[in-house]
Amino acid sequence: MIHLTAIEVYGTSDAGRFAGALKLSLGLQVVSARNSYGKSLAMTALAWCLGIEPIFGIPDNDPSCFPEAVREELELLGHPSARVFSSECSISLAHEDGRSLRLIRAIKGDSSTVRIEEQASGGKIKKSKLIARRQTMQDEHGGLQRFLFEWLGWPREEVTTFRGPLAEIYLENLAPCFYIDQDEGWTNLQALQIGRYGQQQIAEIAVEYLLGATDAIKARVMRQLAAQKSFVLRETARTVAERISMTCLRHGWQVAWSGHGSIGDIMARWSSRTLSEALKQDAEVDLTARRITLNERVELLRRALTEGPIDSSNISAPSEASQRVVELKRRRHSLNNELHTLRTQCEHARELVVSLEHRIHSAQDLLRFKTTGVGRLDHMECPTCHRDLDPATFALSEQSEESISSHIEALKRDRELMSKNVQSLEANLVSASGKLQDLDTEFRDAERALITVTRAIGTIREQIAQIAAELTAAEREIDRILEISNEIDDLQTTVNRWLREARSVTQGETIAPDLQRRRDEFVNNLRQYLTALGHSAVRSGNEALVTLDEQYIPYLGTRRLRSLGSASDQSRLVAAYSLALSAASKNIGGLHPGLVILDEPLQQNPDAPHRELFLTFLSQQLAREAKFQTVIFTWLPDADIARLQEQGTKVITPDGDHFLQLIKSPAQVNQ
Amino acid sequence: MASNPLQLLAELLQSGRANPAISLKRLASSSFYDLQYRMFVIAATFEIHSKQFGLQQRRIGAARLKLLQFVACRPWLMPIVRNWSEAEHDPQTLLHSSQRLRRGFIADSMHDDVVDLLVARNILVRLGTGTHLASGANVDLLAKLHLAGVEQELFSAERRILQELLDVRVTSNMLEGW
Repeated sequence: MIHLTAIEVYGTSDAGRFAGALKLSLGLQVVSARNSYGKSLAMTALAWCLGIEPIFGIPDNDPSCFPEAVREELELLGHPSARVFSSECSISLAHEDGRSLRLIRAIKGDSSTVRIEEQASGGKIKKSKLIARRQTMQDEHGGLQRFLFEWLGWPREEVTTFRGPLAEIYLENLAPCFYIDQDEGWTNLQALQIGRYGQQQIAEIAVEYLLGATDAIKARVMRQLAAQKSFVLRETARTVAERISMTCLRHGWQVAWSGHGSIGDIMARWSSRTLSEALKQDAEVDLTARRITLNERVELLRRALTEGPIDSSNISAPSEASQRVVELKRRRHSLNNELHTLRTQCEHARELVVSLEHRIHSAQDLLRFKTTGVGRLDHMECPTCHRDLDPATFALSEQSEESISSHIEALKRDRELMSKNVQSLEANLVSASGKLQDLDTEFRDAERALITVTRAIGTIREQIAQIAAELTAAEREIDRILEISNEIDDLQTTVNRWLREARSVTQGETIAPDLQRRRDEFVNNLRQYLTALGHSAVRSGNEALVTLDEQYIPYLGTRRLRSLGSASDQSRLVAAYSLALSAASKNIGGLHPGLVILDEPLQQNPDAPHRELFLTFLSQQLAREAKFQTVIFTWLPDADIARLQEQGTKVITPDGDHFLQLIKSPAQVNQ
Repeated sequence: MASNPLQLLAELLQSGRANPAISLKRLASSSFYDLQYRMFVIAATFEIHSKQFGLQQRRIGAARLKLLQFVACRPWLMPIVRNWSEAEHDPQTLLHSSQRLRRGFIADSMHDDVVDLLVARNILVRLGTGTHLASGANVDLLAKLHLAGVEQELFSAERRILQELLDVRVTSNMLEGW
C-alpha cells in the first residue's frame, strides 16, 4: 500500500514565483480550508500527476480541468491579477516498503510528459521522463501507467470490449473507487468511471481488481470471451451445416445435418456420427463400398477387354448400347418434367408466402386500427332521416377483434407451413438439378458409346467397343466418386475443427475460488461504514441485510440501497463504499493503493444534523484507526476543529487565504 | 341437413366411409371482408387517385376505383397490372396478362356494397350514369379516416401500392366493360 506525502503546485507569473504545498501523512486527516482556498486545485493536481484526467471527461493532456489561477491569471498578495507564465504540479507518494516517488507534470507548458523522481528505500534518486497519456500502458519504456503499475506491483489484466479487441484495466478505471471529486464523484458509485473505452463490465472488474481477485477477473473475461466465441461458433455451425446439406442435395442425397440449437446440442449431434455414417444411414450411400464395386467392375471389364473370350455370334452390343441411350433419354425427360413441376410449385409457394406476409401485416394493422379506434367511421348516419345506417342492409359486416386475432393466428400457421414447403421444394429442386447433371454426364457417355459401337464393323469389334466404352464410363465414375469422397472428407475436417473449437470453449470456464471470501470482507466493511456514517436506512439491527449483487451494487434486503433512506444518504453511501473497499482490500491483501480522497463530503449535506453525523464518524475509532490513508478536503468551523483534535483526529489547517502564494525573495524576507 | 358448407362437406365425406375431422374454431374470415378495412382502402384510393372536379369536389372513375383498391389489397398483383398496362397495345399479350387479375376482380362485389354505403352516407356521390364517383358533403370523414391511417402508420403496404399505381397507366381501354 502507498500513501500521499505531499501535493505541490508552483509556477511563475509576472508578479514573481508562486507556490502552494500540502504535506500529508498516513491515516485519517481532514484538510480544512475556506471556500475558494484551492482545495479542489490540490485534488485536481493529484489526478493530473497520475495522468488520469479522462475521468473528468476531457481529452488527453488537456489542463482545462484546472482553475484559471494556474493557467491564465491568479490573485496574489498585492497583485490582484498576476499573469501566469508557467505552472506545474507534483505529488509525492510513499510505499509501505520504504520506496518513494515524486511525479511532476506541467500544467501550463508541455503537459504530455510526466517527470519521475524515484527513490528506492534509502537509495539514490533516479530521474526519468514518461509519456502521460498516449500509449501510456502499451509503451513498455515510456508509458506512465505501465511504470506506475510496475512500481505499485499491480498485475496488468486484459478485459473484453464492446468493440472486439481486448483492452487493459487502466488507472482511470480504478481511481473512481478511491478518488471522489466534488463535482461528480458523489452522484453515484464509481461516478467517474470511464465508459467510452468500451470495456465490458468495467465497474465490477475495478472492484474485483482492487479486492485483489485477479483470478475472478480472468474467469470473468474468459466467460465473456467464451460468450463471444459461442456466438461465432453457432454462426459457423449454421454455415457448415448449410454447406453440407447443399453438397449432399447437389448429389441428390437428403441428409439430416442440422446446425441449429445450442452449442452443446450441436456438439452432441455432430459427435454422434461422421458424415460418411450419416450418408449411409440417411441416404443409403456408401462411397467406399461403391468405389470397391466400381474397381471390381473395372477389373472385370479390363480383363474382358484384354484377355477374355469374345463370342463372334453375339450381335446384341448395338441394341444394348441403343437401349441404354433410349432409357437414359426417357429418364432425363421424366426428370426434366419433375424439375419443371418443382419450379412452378416453388414459384407459387413463394408467391403464397409473400401474399400471406402481406395479409398478416394487413390483419395486424386492422386489429390495431380497431383497438385504437382513431379515425374509425363507427356511426354511419343517414343524412336525410338521421338514423344509423345498418351495414347489414348493404350485405356488409364488421369483424370482432377476437375474430381478427384468430385470423392472424391462422395466417401465421399457414405461413409457417408454406415456408416449410418452400424450403422443402427448394431442397428438392437442388437435389433434382444435381441428379439431372449426373444423368446428363451418363447420357453423354452412353451416346458416345453408341456412336463407337454403331461405327464398329463386325460383332467382335462391336463388343470390344462396348466393353471399352463401359470401362471408360466406370473409370470416370470412379474419378467422380473419389472427387465426392474428397469433398466429404473436407467437410468432415471442417466439422472436426468446429468440434475441437467448441470443446475448448466449453471446457475453458474456471471458477475463481477466493472471490467469495473477498466479497464477504467487502460486505462486512460496507456494513460497518454505513452504520458508522449514519446511513438512515442501515441501523445496527438490520445491517446484516446489506448485500452486494453480481454488479457489486449494495442492496438492503431486496431493495437497492441507493433508493432507500433520504436523498442525503447518497453521499454517505458513496463514502462508505469507497472506504469499505479500501479497508477490505487492506485486510485481505488486495491491490487497493491504500488511499481514499474525499472532496467536500459536507457540501453534499451542509445542514447541522448531517454535519454532526459526519463529525461523529470522524471521531470514531473506525475512521481514526483505519490502516489506510483517508484525506478529506472540507471546511470546518474552529469549534469543530477543536473538537476533532481533542478526540485525536488530525486536522490540517493551511495558512493564508489561498493555496497558491507568492514566494518572497530573500531580500523581501529580510525587509 | 347442415347449414355450414363445411359441415355439409363432412356429411358427404362420411357417406363415402371417410372420417373427416372439422375444427370450426380454427376458421376465421379474412380481414378482406371487414367493412372498416375496405372503407380505409377506398378512402386511401380516393385520397391518392381522385382528381379535381369543379371548384370544390374531387372525382374518380368508378371502375378505376374498383381496380385500384383491388390491387391495393393484393400487392402481389402489382407486377401483373404493370405488365398488363405495358402490353396494352398488344391484344394477344393483353388477354394473357390480365386474365389472372380479371378472374378475381370481377367477383369483388363487396366493393360495390361498400360504395353503396358510402353513397348512402353522402360521403361519395354518383355522377351521371354512375361511371364516376365524386366527393359528397361528408367526404371529410373519408379524409379523416385516411389521415388517421397515415398518422398511425397503418396499412403501409396498401398505401405504398397506391402510390406506385400513380406511375402505372390505367387506360379507359383497360377499364372498358367494367
